Amino acid sequence: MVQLVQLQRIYDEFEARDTTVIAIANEETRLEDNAKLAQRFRREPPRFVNLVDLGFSLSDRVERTTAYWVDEKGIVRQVFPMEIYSRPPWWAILNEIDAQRGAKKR
Amino acid sequence: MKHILASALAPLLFAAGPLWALPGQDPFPVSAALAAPGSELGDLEVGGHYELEVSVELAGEINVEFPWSSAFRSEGERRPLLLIDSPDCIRLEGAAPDVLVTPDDYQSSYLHFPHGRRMLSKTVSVAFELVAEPAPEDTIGINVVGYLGQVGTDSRQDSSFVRRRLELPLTAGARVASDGSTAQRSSWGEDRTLQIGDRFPEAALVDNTGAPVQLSEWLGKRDVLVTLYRRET
Repeated sequence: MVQLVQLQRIYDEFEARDTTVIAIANEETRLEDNAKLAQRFRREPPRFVNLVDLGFSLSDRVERTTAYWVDEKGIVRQVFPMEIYSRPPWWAILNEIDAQRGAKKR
Repeated sequence: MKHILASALAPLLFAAGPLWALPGQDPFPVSAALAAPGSELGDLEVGGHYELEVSVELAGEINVEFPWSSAFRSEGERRPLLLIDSPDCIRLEGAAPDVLVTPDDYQSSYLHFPHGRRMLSKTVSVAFELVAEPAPEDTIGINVVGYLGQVGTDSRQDSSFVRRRLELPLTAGARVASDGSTAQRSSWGEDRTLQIGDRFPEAALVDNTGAPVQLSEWLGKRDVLVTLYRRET
Protein backbone atom coordinates (compact mmCIF):
# COMPACT_ATOMS: atom_id res chain seq x y z
CA MET A 1 0.00 0.00 0.00
CA VAL A 2 2.98 2.26 0.45
CA GLN A 3 3.13 2.07 -3.33
CA LEU A 4 -0.17 3.91 -3.51
CA VAL A 5 0.98 6.68 -1.19
CA GLN A 6 3.86 7.29 -3.56
CA LEU A 7 1.50 7.09 -6.52
CA GLN A 8 -0.68 9.79 -5.02
CA ARG A 9 2.36 12.08 -4.79
CA ILE A 10 3.21 11.85 -8.45
CA TYR A 11 -0.27 11.41 -9.86
CA ASP A 12 0.08 14.67 -11.81
CA GLU A 13 2.55 12.85 -14.02
CA PHE A 14 -0.02 10.23 -15.00
CA GLU A 15 -2.63 12.91 -15.61
CA ALA A 16 -0.19 14.76 -17.80
CA ARG A 17 -0.04 11.59 -19.88
CA ASP A 18 -3.84 11.21 -20.02
CA THR A 19 -3.49 7.95 -18.16
CA THR A 20 -5.87 6.80 -15.44
CA VAL A 21 -4.41 4.56 -12.77
CA ILE A 22 -6.77 1.91 -11.44
CA ALA A 23 -5.48 0.28 -8.25
CA ILE A 24 -7.26 -2.98 -7.54
CA ALA A 25 -7.11 -4.74 -4.19
CA ASN A 26 -7.08 -8.40 -5.06
CA GLU A 27 -6.62 -10.15 -1.75
CA GLU A 28 -9.70 -8.99 0.09
CA THR A 29 -12.84 -11.00 0.61
CA ARG A 30 -14.67 -8.26 2.52
CA LEU A 31 -14.94 -4.60 1.66
CA GLU A 32 -13.97 -3.67 5.22
CA ASP A 33 -10.57 -5.20 4.66
CA ASN A 34 -9.74 -2.38 2.31
CA ALA A 35 -10.46 0.18 5.05
CA LYS A 36 -6.78 0.61 5.81
CA LEU A 37 -6.43 2.31 2.49
CA ALA A 38 -9.20 4.75 3.26
CA GLN A 39 -7.46 5.51 6.54
CA ARG A 40 -4.23 6.28 4.74
CA PHE A 41 -6.03 8.66 2.43
CA ARG A 42 -8.35 10.32 4.93
CA ARG A 43 -6.75 13.73 4.43
CA GLU A 44 -6.77 13.68 0.66
CA PRO A 45 -8.92 11.14 -1.17
CA PRO A 46 -7.06 8.94 -3.63
CA ARG A 47 -6.60 10.56 -7.00
CA PHE A 48 -6.34 7.15 -8.60
CA VAL A 49 -9.34 4.88 -9.01
CA ASN A 50 -9.50 2.38 -6.16
CA LEU A 51 -11.48 -0.82 -6.70
CA VAL A 52 -11.76 -4.12 -4.91
CA ASP A 53 -11.94 -7.53 -6.58
CA LEU A 54 -13.95 -9.31 -3.90
CA GLY A 55 -14.88 -12.22 -6.12
CA PHE A 56 -11.32 -12.73 -7.41
CA SER A 57 -12.74 -12.39 -10.90
CA LEU A 58 -9.38 -11.28 -12.27
CA SER A 59 -7.20 -13.63 -10.29
CA ASP A 60 -6.65 -16.22 -13.01
CA ARG A 61 -5.62 -13.57 -15.55
CA VAL A 62 -3.33 -11.31 -13.56
CA GLU A 63 -0.30 -11.72 -11.39
CA ARG A 64 -0.84 -10.45 -7.90
CA THR A 65 1.66 -7.64 -7.80
CA THR A 66 1.89 -6.61 -11.40
CA ALA A 67 0.93 -3.47 -13.25
CA TYR A 68 -0.54 -3.57 -16.74
CA TRP A 69 -0.43 -0.63 -19.09
CA VAL A 70 -3.53 -0.80 -21.29
CA ASP A 71 -3.91 1.47 -24.30
CA GLU A 72 -7.00 3.42 -25.33
CA LYS A 73 -8.22 0.42 -27.32
CA GLY A 74 -8.17 -1.76 -24.22
CA ILE A 75 -5.11 -3.74 -25.31
CA VAL A 76 -2.29 -4.58 -22.90
CA ARG A 77 0.82 -2.75 -24.09
CA GLN A 78 3.25 -3.57 -21.28
CA VAL A 79 3.44 -5.81 -18.25
CA PHE A 80 5.39 -4.55 -15.24
CA PRO A 81 6.16 -7.29 -12.73
CA MET A 82 6.86 -5.95 -9.28
CA GLU A 83 7.91 -7.29 -5.97
CA ILE A 84 5.44 -7.24 -3.17
CA TYR A 85 7.20 -4.94 -0.80
CA SER A 86 9.56 -3.10 -3.09
CA ARG A 87 9.48 0.60 -3.58
CA PRO A 88 7.22 1.50 -6.46
CA PRO A 89 8.78 1.95 -9.88
CA TRP A 90 6.30 4.61 -10.95
CA TRP A 91 8.87 6.72 -12.72
CA ALA A 92 10.20 3.76 -14.60
CA ILE A 93 6.65 3.02 -15.73
CA LEU A 94 6.09 6.64 -16.77
CA ASN A 95 9.32 6.62 -18.72
CA GLU A 96 8.37 3.36 -20.42
CA ILE A 97 5.01 4.83 -21.46
CA ASP A 98 6.83 7.86 -22.88
CA ALA A 99 9.33 5.66 -24.69
CA GLN A 100 6.65 3.48 -26.28
CA ARG A 101 4.57 6.46 -27.30
CA GLY A 102 7.64 8.10 -28.77
CA ALA A 103 8.40 4.96 -30.76
CA LYS A 104 4.80 4.83 -32.01
CA LYS A 105 4.98 8.42 -33.27
CA ARG A 106 8.14 7.72 -35.21
CA MET B 1 34.12 20.14 -11.86
CA LYS B 2 32.75 16.90 -10.52
CA HIS B 3 31.50 15.96 -14.00
CA ILE B 4 34.93 16.54 -15.43
CA LEU B 5 36.42 14.47 -12.68
CA ALA B 6 33.99 11.63 -13.33
CA SER B 7 34.78 11.68 -17.04
CA ALA B 8 38.47 11.64 -16.35
CA LEU B 9 38.17 8.70 -13.98
CA ALA B 10 36.03 6.53 -16.22
CA PRO B 11 38.82 5.18 -18.43
CA LEU B 12 40.86 4.37 -15.35
CA LEU B 13 37.99 2.43 -13.87
CA PHE B 14 37.41 0.58 -17.10
CA ALA B 15 41.05 -0.45 -17.04
CA ALA B 16 40.52 -1.88 -13.56
CA GLY B 17 38.14 -4.54 -14.80
CA PRO B 18 35.64 -5.43 -17.46
CA LEU B 19 32.56 -5.03 -15.29
CA TRP B 20 32.06 -1.32 -15.60
CA ALA B 21 29.34 -0.28 -17.93
CA LEU B 22 30.56 2.81 -19.71
CA PRO B 23 28.38 5.04 -21.86
CA GLY B 24 27.29 3.09 -24.88
CA GLN B 25 27.52 -0.24 -23.12
CA ASP B 26 24.53 -2.27 -22.03
CA PRO B 27 23.79 -1.16 -18.44
CA PHE B 28 21.99 -4.38 -17.73
CA PRO B 29 23.90 -7.27 -19.26
CA VAL B 30 22.44 -10.69 -18.62
CA SER B 31 24.07 -13.92 -19.66
CA ALA B 32 23.33 -17.61 -19.24
CA ALA B 33 25.23 -20.83 -19.67
CA LEU B 34 24.92 -24.53 -18.97
CA ALA B 35 27.21 -26.29 -16.52
CA ALA B 36 27.66 -29.71 -15.02
CA PRO B 37 28.07 -29.71 -11.24
CA GLY B 38 31.60 -30.68 -10.29
CA SER B 39 32.82 -31.57 -13.76
CA GLU B 40 33.31 -30.41 -17.33
CA LEU B 41 30.13 -30.22 -19.28
CA GLY B 42 30.10 -32.78 -22.04
CA ASP B 43 27.22 -33.77 -24.29
CA LEU B 44 23.91 -33.66 -22.47
CA GLU B 45 22.43 -37.04 -21.67
CA VAL B 46 18.91 -37.98 -20.70
CA GLY B 47 18.88 -38.60 -16.94
CA GLY B 48 21.84 -36.27 -16.41
CA HIS B 49 21.86 -33.50 -13.83
CA TYR B 50 22.96 -30.07 -14.97
CA GLU B 51 22.90 -26.46 -13.92
CA LEU B 52 21.66 -23.37 -15.59
CA GLU B 53 23.77 -20.38 -14.60
CA VAL B 54 22.25 -16.95 -15.01
CA SER B 55 24.39 -13.87 -14.44
CA VAL B 56 23.63 -10.20 -14.34
CA GLU B 57 25.91 -7.25 -13.99
CA LEU B 58 24.55 -3.98 -12.79
CA ALA B 59 26.81 -1.10 -13.43
CA GLY B 60 26.89 2.39 -14.69
CA GLU B 61 24.59 3.88 -12.10
CA ILE B 62 26.19 7.20 -11.56
CA ASN B 63 25.12 9.48 -8.80
CA VAL B 64 25.87 12.74 -10.51
CA GLU B 65 24.00 15.01 -8.16
CA PHE B 66 25.37 13.64 -4.93
CA PRO B 67 28.74 12.25 -5.88
CA TRP B 68 30.00 12.08 -2.35
CA SER B 69 26.99 10.39 -0.88
CA SER B 70 27.15 6.80 0.14
CA ALA B 71 23.49 6.64 1.11
CA PHE B 72 22.14 4.54 -1.69
CA ARG B 73 18.41 4.34 -1.93
CA SER B 74 15.63 2.21 -3.21
CA GLU B 75 17.45 -1.03 -3.66
CA GLY B 76 14.13 -2.79 -3.55
CA GLU B 77 12.91 -1.50 -6.84
CA ARG B 78 16.12 -2.51 -8.52
CA ARG B 79 15.97 -6.15 -7.65
CA PRO B 80 15.95 -7.88 -10.99
CA LEU B 81 13.23 -10.49 -11.14
CA LEU B 82 13.84 -13.79 -12.87
CA LEU B 83 11.44 -16.10 -14.65
CA ILE B 84 12.59 -19.29 -16.31
CA ASP B 85 10.62 -20.91 -19.10
CA SER B 86 11.69 -24.54 -19.10
CA PRO B 87 10.92 -26.86 -22.00
CA ASP B 88 9.20 -30.19 -21.33
CA CYS B 89 12.46 -32.09 -21.71
CA ILE B 90 13.90 -30.68 -18.49
CA ARG B 91 12.73 -30.81 -14.90
CA LEU B 92 13.87 -28.11 -12.55
CA GLU B 93 15.16 -29.52 -9.29
CA GLY B 94 13.77 -27.43 -6.49
CA ALA B 95 12.09 -24.08 -6.75
CA ALA B 96 13.56 -21.80 -9.35
CA PRO B 97 14.65 -18.46 -7.89
CA ASP B 98 12.37 -15.62 -8.82
CA VAL B 99 14.65 -12.83 -7.68
CA LEU B 100 18.01 -12.59 -9.34
CA VAL B 101 19.58 -10.22 -6.86
CA THR B 102 18.70 -10.00 -3.18
CA PRO B 103 19.19 -7.10 -0.76
CA ASP B 104 22.07 -8.98 0.83
CA ASP B 105 23.84 -9.03 -2.50
CA TYR B 106 23.47 -5.30 -2.74
CA GLN B 107 24.83 -4.78 0.73
CA SER B 108 27.89 -6.87 0.10
CA SER B 109 28.56 -5.94 -3.48
CA TYR B 110 28.41 -2.19 -3.50
CA LEU B 111 31.59 -0.47 -4.27
CA HIS B 112 31.52 3.11 -3.19
CA PHE B 113 33.64 5.30 -5.35
CA PRO B 114 33.93 9.02 -5.02
CA HIS B 115 31.87 9.71 -8.11
CA GLY B 116 29.19 7.23 -7.10
CA ARG B 117 29.66 4.61 -9.75
CA ARG B 118 28.92 1.19 -8.43
CA MET B 119 29.05 -2.35 -9.53
CA LEU B 120 27.25 -5.55 -8.88
CA SER B 121 27.68 -8.91 -10.43
CA LYS B 122 25.58 -11.88 -9.48
CA THR B 123 25.16 -15.42 -10.70
CA VAL B 124 22.44 -17.83 -9.69
CA SER B 125 22.48 -21.53 -10.44
CA VAL B 126 19.37 -23.52 -11.16
CA ALA B 127 19.71 -27.31 -11.05
CA PHE B 128 17.78 -29.38 -13.55
CA GLU B 129 17.54 -32.91 -14.86
CA LEU B 130 17.29 -33.69 -18.53
CA VAL B 131 14.29 -36.01 -18.60
CA ALA B 132 13.91 -36.45 -22.36
CA GLU B 133 15.92 -35.99 -25.51
CA PRO B 134 15.67 -32.30 -26.39
CA ALA B 135 14.32 -31.33 -29.78
CA PRO B 136 16.66 -29.08 -31.76
CA GLU B 137 14.37 -26.12 -31.21
CA ASP B 138 14.13 -26.65 -27.43
CA THR B 139 15.60 -23.81 -25.42
CA ILE B 140 15.49 -22.61 -21.85
CA GLY B 141 13.90 -19.16 -21.77
CA ILE B 142 15.54 -16.79 -19.31
CA ASN B 143 13.53 -13.68 -18.54
CA VAL B 144 14.78 -10.87 -16.38
CA VAL B 145 13.21 -7.54 -15.61
CA GLY B 146 14.56 -4.76 -13.49
CA TYR B 147 14.08 -1.13 -12.71
CA LEU B 148 17.28 0.81 -13.06
CA GLY B 149 17.92 4.34 -12.11
CA GLN B 150 20.21 6.94 -10.82
CA VAL B 151 20.97 6.79 -7.18
CA GLY B 152 20.75 9.64 -4.79
CA THR B 153 17.69 11.38 -6.14
CA ASP B 154 14.29 11.37 -4.54
CA SER B 155 12.29 11.59 -7.70
CA ARG B 156 14.04 8.79 -9.56
CA GLN B 157 12.86 10.46 -12.73
CA ASP B 158 15.64 8.83 -14.66
CA SER B 159 14.67 5.30 -13.75
CA SER B 160 13.80 2.95 -16.51
CA PHE B 161 12.18 -0.40 -17.01
CA VAL B 162 14.56 -2.92 -18.53
CA ARG B 163 13.82 -6.42 -19.61
CA ARG B 164 15.83 -9.12 -21.22
CA ARG B 165 14.97 -12.47 -22.68
CA LEU B 166 17.55 -15.06 -23.59
CA GLU B 167 17.04 -18.40 -25.30
CA LEU B 168 19.64 -20.91 -24.22
CA PRO B 169 20.00 -24.00 -26.43
CA LEU B 170 20.37 -27.34 -24.68
CA THR B 171 23.76 -28.16 -26.08
CA ALA B 172 27.16 -28.54 -24.49
CA GLY B 173 29.00 -25.23 -24.33
CA ALA B 174 25.87 -23.23 -24.92
CA ARG B 175 26.21 -19.66 -23.71
CA VAL B 176 24.06 -16.68 -24.52
CA ALA B 177 24.33 -13.03 -23.56
CA SER B 178 22.05 -10.07 -23.96
CA ASP B 179 23.00 -7.47 -26.52
CA GLY B 180 21.27 -4.51 -24.93
CA SER B 181 18.04 -5.00 -26.82
CA THR B 182 14.76 -5.08 -24.96
CA ALA B 183 13.36 -8.42 -26.03
CA GLN B 184 10.96 -9.66 -23.44
CA ARG B 185 8.52 -12.26 -22.38
CA SER B 186 5.09 -11.01 -23.31
CA SER B 187 3.73 -11.79 -19.88
CA TRP B 188 4.98 -12.61 -16.43
CA GLY B 189 3.68 -15.64 -14.62
CA GLU B 190 1.62 -18.58 -15.76
CA ASP B 191 0.64 -18.94 -19.38
CA ARG B 192 -2.96 -18.01 -18.72
CA THR B 193 -2.05 -14.57 -17.41
CA LEU B 194 -2.51 -11.52 -19.55
CA GLN B 195 0.04 -11.01 -22.25
CA ILE B 196 1.06 -8.01 -24.26
CA GLY B 197 -1.48 -7.74 -27.06
CA ASP B 198 -4.33 -9.27 -25.06
CA ARG B 199 -7.50 -7.35 -24.40
CA PHE B 200 -7.78 -6.50 -20.70
CA PRO B 201 -10.85 -8.39 -19.46
CA GLU B 202 -13.95 -6.94 -17.92
CA ALA B 203 -14.33 -7.93 -14.29
CA ALA B 204 -16.90 -7.72 -11.54
CA LEU B 205 -15.39 -5.18 -9.17
CA VAL B 206 -16.71 -2.84 -6.53
CA ASP B 207 -15.64 0.57 -5.32
CA ASN B 208 -14.99 1.41 -1.68
CA THR B 209 -18.69 1.87 -1.00
CA GLY B 210 -19.47 -1.57 -2.37
CA ALA B 211 -21.08 -0.23 -5.54
CA PRO B 212 -20.43 -2.38 -8.61
CA VAL B 213 -18.06 -0.86 -11.13
CA GLN B 214 -17.37 -1.83 -14.71
CA LEU B 215 -13.80 -1.48 -15.91
CA SER B 216 -15.25 -0.51 -19.28
CA GLU B 217 -15.90 2.87 -17.73
CA TRP B 218 -12.23 3.49 -18.50
CA LEU B 219 -10.98 0.61 -20.63
CA GLY B 220 -11.14 1.24 -24.33
CA LYS B 221 -11.59 4.95 -23.80
CA ARG B 222 -8.23 6.13 -22.60
CA ASP B 223 -4.89 4.77 -21.50
CA VAL B 224 -5.09 2.98 -18.19
CA LEU B 225 -2.51 1.59 -15.82
CA VAL B 226 -4.08 -1.25 -13.87
CA THR B 227 -2.04 -2.04 -10.80
CA LEU B 228 -2.80 -4.88 -8.41
CA TYR B 229 -1.94 -4.41 -4.78
CA ARG B 230 -1.90 -6.71 -1.82
CA ARG B 231 -3.07 -6.29 1.69
CA GLU B 232 -0.70 -4.42 3.97
CA THR B 233 0.57 -6.67 6.70
